[in-house]
Amino acid sequence: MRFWKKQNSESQPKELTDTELVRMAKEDKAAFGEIYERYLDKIYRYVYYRVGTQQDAEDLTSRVFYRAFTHVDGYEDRGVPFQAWLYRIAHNLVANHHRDRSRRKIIPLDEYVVTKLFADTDGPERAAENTEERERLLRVVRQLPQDRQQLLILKFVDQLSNAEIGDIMDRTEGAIKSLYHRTLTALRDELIPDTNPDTARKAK
Amino acid sequence: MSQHTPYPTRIQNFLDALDADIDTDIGVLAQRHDIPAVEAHALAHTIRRLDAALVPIVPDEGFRARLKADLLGEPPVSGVFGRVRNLPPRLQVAAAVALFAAMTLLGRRRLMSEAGDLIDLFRDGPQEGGEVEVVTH
Repeated sequence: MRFWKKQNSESQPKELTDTELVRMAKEDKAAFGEIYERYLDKIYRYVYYRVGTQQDAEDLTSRVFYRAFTHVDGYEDRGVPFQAWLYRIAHNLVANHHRDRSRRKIIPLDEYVVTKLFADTDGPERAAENTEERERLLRVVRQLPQDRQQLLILKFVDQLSNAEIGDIMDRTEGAIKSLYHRTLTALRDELIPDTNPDTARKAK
Repeated sequence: MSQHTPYPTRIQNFLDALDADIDTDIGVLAQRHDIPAVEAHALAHTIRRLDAALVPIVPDEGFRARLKADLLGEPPVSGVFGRVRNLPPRLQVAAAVALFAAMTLLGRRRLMSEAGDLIDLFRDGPQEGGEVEVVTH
């Protein structure tokens, strides 16, 4: 499973640390290119799942990197790792985006995720079932409070550890674990009617 | 796991163990952490569904190149080689192999054609009024 494969891949040797790269980027902006390559995918994924459309994700991801590029001189590692600093920029921009659009209807994750990405090779019927199930799950996820959505995306999409998520969300690792459990429990309760038709009937 | 450990801690330890290996035997894990089996299976099922639904995606290659160019002032690389450079490493290797195969095929075809002409020339013998000059070094 993708999520659990991460455990092994972390043991690979790293080149330059973020701190070293940031120090270089302060002196030579071209070094920011390496930071960009390292974080573009992660930030894009995070933003994409928070806003739901490719167009908005590209727009906000651009803003994240512009802001990071222009403010990297002022970044100091005072207990907040560079990665967390970058995600916090993304988080703030996403929050502003949702605030600006709060009067508009929130568009669900665009069809790219629920159709093309999840197009299975198990035959059209099975693929349709899977797509429907995933669509339903994503809808439920997007109805969760913002901090819970953020946690799930950082954990499952960007595959960060609880400690890294804690840095980004400015909470302790223990608090993240606790939030994770509460989120899973809420999701489980929400999704039980899906998996048990009898329960679903009773619930109605 | 002792029952004296508070339930929330036991659950968190159980979830940590699932993070490490979701394919483990949930029943055994639930027993080890003293979690009700029904609860353990429900949580594991939810995690699996999330893992299947929240898949990593990648940004469009054009967007990636444009944004980098805008940020760093580098013109986006255009043309065939620019496009190949934007491909994932595996596809770059495939493109290189395909190019090499194509070049080899063309070279071979040309060589065969020239060899065929030479064979025809020797088979037919020198044309009347002409001669075949054999050059030796």
